[in-house]
Amino acid sequence: MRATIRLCKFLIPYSKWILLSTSLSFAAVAAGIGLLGTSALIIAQAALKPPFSALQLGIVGVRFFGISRGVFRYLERLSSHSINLKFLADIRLWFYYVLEQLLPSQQINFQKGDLFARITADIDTLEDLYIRIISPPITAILITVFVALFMGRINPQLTPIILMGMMMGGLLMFFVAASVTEKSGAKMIKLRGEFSRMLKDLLDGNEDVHTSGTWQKKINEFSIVNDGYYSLEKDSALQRGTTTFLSIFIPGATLLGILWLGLELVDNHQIDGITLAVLTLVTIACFEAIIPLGSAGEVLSKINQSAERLMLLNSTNHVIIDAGNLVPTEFTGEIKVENLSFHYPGEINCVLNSIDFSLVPGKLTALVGPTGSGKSTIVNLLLRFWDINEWGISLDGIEIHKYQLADVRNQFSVMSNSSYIFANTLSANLSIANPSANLDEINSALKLVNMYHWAMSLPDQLNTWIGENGWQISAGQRQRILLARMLLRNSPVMIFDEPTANMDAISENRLWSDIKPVLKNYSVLWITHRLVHMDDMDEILFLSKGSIIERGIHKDLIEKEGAYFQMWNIQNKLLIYHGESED
Amino acid sequence: MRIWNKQLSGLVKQQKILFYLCIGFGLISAGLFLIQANILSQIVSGSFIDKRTRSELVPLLLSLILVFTLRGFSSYCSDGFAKIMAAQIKNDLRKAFFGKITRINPVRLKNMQSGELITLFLSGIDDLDRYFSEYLPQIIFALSIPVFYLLFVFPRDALSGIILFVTAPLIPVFMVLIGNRAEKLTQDQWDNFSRLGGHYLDTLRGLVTLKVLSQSKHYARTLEKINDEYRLDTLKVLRVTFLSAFVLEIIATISIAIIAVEIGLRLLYGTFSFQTAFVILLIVPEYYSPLRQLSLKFHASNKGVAAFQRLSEFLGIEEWGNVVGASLEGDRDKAENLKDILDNSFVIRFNQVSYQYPERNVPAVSDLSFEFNKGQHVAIVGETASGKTTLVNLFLKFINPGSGEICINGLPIKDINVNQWLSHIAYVSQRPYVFSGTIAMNVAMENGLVDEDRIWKALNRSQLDKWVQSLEHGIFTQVGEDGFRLSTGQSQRLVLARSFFKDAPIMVMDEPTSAVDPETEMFLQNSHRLLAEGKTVLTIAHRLATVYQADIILVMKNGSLIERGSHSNLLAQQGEYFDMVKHYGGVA
Repeated sequence: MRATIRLCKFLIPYSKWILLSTSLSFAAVAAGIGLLGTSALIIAQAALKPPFSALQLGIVGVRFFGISRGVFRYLERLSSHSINLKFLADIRLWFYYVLEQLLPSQQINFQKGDLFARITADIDTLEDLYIRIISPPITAILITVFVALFMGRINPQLTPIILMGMMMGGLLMFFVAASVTEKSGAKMIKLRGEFSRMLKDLLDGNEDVHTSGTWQKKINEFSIVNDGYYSLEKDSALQRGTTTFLSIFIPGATLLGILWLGLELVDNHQIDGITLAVLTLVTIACFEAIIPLGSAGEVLSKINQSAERLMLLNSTNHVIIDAGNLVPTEFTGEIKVENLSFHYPGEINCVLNSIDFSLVPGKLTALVGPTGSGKSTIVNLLLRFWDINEWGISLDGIEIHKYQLADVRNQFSVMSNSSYIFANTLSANLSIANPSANLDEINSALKLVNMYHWAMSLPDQLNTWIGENGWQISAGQRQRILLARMLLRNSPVMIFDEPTANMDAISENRLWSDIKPVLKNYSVLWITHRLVHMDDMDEILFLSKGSIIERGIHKDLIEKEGAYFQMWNIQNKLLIYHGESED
Repeated sequence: MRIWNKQLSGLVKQQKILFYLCIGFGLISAGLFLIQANILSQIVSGSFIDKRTRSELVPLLLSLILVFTLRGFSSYCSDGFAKIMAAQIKNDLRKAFFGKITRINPVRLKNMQSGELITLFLSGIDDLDRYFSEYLPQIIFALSIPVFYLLFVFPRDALSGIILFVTAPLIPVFMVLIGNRAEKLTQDQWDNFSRLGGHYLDTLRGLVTLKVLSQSKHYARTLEKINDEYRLDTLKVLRVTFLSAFVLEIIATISIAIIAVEIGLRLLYGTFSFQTAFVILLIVPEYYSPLRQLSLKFHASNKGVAAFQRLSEFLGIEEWGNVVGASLEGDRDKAENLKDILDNSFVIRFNQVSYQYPERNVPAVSDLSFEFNKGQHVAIVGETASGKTTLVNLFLKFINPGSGEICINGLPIKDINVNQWLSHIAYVSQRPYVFSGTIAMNVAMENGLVDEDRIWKALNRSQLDKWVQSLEHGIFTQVGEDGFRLSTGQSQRLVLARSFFKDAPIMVMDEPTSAVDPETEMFLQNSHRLLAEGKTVLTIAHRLATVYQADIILVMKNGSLIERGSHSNLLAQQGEYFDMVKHYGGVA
């Protein structure tokens, strides 16, 4: 609930619009009450057979209310949806910034499910927040006050009855609906979790389930969960019926109360029969503002959950302090890493331990080692995705935190497993690295990576849509596009983080022969657990459990017969393909 | 989007009784409303016109209580039955969905996105709820209740009846007129919406890349622009779609106004009774309500209809065989002696086996012929997409040969029940999958009573026993998705323990392709040797050590078997295998 309230602050900028939309909503319901009230007035007056002129006011009234109600409702819908759309747009943007701050932090497990898809689904859920949760109660309160005042003027004794009926009724419906969904909701979420886990097992472990012959067991498991879910749904069906019951019973009971008192008042000549007729229809009509509270209660818990998940990510705060102000004239791309150690906040184990190395233009440095040895952490530190207390990284002789953050990051271009091809055109995917790049520069980058002819052969050349749902590209093409992107960026330092993952040996060879000549003007850090083309490297750093345990050139390391040699040896005993087999 | 979806409505057939109950109680509720209106008009008119006192009206007031309580109760029943019906249908769909998974060919299933299927199961089926519990009954109500009310009004006042009769059809007519335009706009809007959603999702997924390129701040402005465009487009559409609601509202309110005036005037001049007038006034707003509800519920049910399309696509996938019971082509009698065959000596023969995946235009494997005996170790080598996996899938009966056959001692394996066949095979896939459950369950692959000693023995052989001993709950430690996270090495060991536990006479292995750290590598090689001891083994091999030790090496290329023989034989041939070993292994 707290998270939902916090999200409501995004509505504050639109308070004027909200005022307008709730006024319109109030006006629409009030016009409905007016329509039925004046209708009752007309026929009740007419029953007493007065001169025609006596009816004229009522006739003007019904005509006015009859037309205005639709207009008010229409405008109210437009304005409330407009607020809603603005609100959602703001949330999307805000959340983009939240994630922009967080990524690529190690503390969020982005691998678990598709977190991003979940986030977008959560944001979509918030669609109901204004229209179904915020707006109806405001309208309900305004209408309740309005009707109570109206009846109070007729006779003050009516006020407590109508107030009771509307307020208690509204609250009752809201809370009954909310508690039903809240209660069964928690159980359902648990069972849905079970479903999801079970399906994941069956789908991802499908072959193992087949070969282990455990289908019957899986089917039994499923039946248990499914039966539980089914009976919960049946329970909630009956509880949901309760809301329906209330939506008929409460107005009925309130009407009865009004009639009970109204009849007495007529008997005592405190009000006339015409008023009694009007009161009856006004009471029936005013519940139009109360009924939507039930559905507000129903969606509340769902919105709360979404809001909580969004806020949870917001609270995992990790801020890089961009306090440097040194503006360099021209970077040469010389990186020096000295005695660099690092552990993630809250963890004791060092991820990196006294790392020393340097990157110099024209030098190829390879960082190799088994998975999990800390290779990627070095990249995150070079790019200042993590801040450390003891600075051990300097750029052109000056520690990197003394520069502005953007300037530091601009010195690097990175190709990694997580480098992303956007669902956009080829040229957009390239120029993202350098928005000011012109067509010639894009073309020459493509030529350098041997992709120009391919690009020209595409249906729409550079404007061909790639990425999700776009033109299919192979792993090798993908890496070349990423490389062209790096070249366009024109940064002095290039970092390759497992660039040949998911490629077969032949494509790997081809890629290397394309890349190698391009690299000669840059400071290059080549990170890999595949020991190929190592004889081209000017220095090899062998990282194991966060420390560099061996360094040198390939020939020397092989002669040394240490850890590097061992890994090299194992690899050479592997046959062919390192990619995923796709047959 | 159609008003009536035949396929979806067809699902109700099994739940006829619930559906009738829902409709029945809904109609009763509508009837009770007429009674309620009648009583109410008698009360008001009794006091107003006949000057009766409250005490005289008490019986009417009491019956009013009774009627609206009953009406509430029937609506409760109507809604409740509708919900239960929806729950039943969803329950059936879930069962069908799950059953489908058990019956789809694993090869086919592997090509589907598990995330998407899970979402379809969890959200897609729930999205259907509103279609069944709200929209479908409402169609009936919208068609019947107005008629019901009309029959009530006509005898009492023909003129009002005519007004109601004439205006009601106007509503659908106008809705269709506006609806057609709105539908096109809504469709565009949907495309627009999915583009925006897709774009946002795409941006989030690529956020790290944007950040690395220091474009993330800049990109926010693009996002803002797209958001704005989307918002303005949406509003344009809403202006039209809300028009249909507007027309509905206007027709309803104006008829109320007209009827009020028309009745009022006749009351003024004629002999029309106040009570009749009042009752009609009470009924008119309710007369339009079912139609209004229908248009609201139509929009709410759209999502479900869309989900159902994807759902029925999935449920329509061709099935592979009933793995739970007897296989489709399985013959129990012939399989009876399978155990005997496996216990004694046997020979497995691939006889001109070919297979082509339905959606491909070249065969994955063609004309495979080879044989191996009990106790022999077979290594399959070859490039990516050379047909190695297909060969193994054929052997595991995940797919059946398009032509040719695989026999064990002359008995075609297609005549053997899949479950029977697989119960004699231990399979180690390339990517070990750890199920969510306990370690014991992952090893024995069953819950309940397990032979703990046998599990420990299996763990010991895959060198996981020391680590498991150090865990607080030992073999009952939860692992997988929601449990203890295992490292890649540990997962591999756990999955191997599964095979040690199963101890089947035939082993099928798909070796991991990439090198891991020296320690794990050593372990993998050792356990491969241990597992293979005394068994008949078929391996997709990526390690020279495995290949060296194999009795038969099958070299695959483009779906064909191009060389076969032992390591030394093949080297002597100086063919494809020789090149392969020379090129990658550097050993010749």
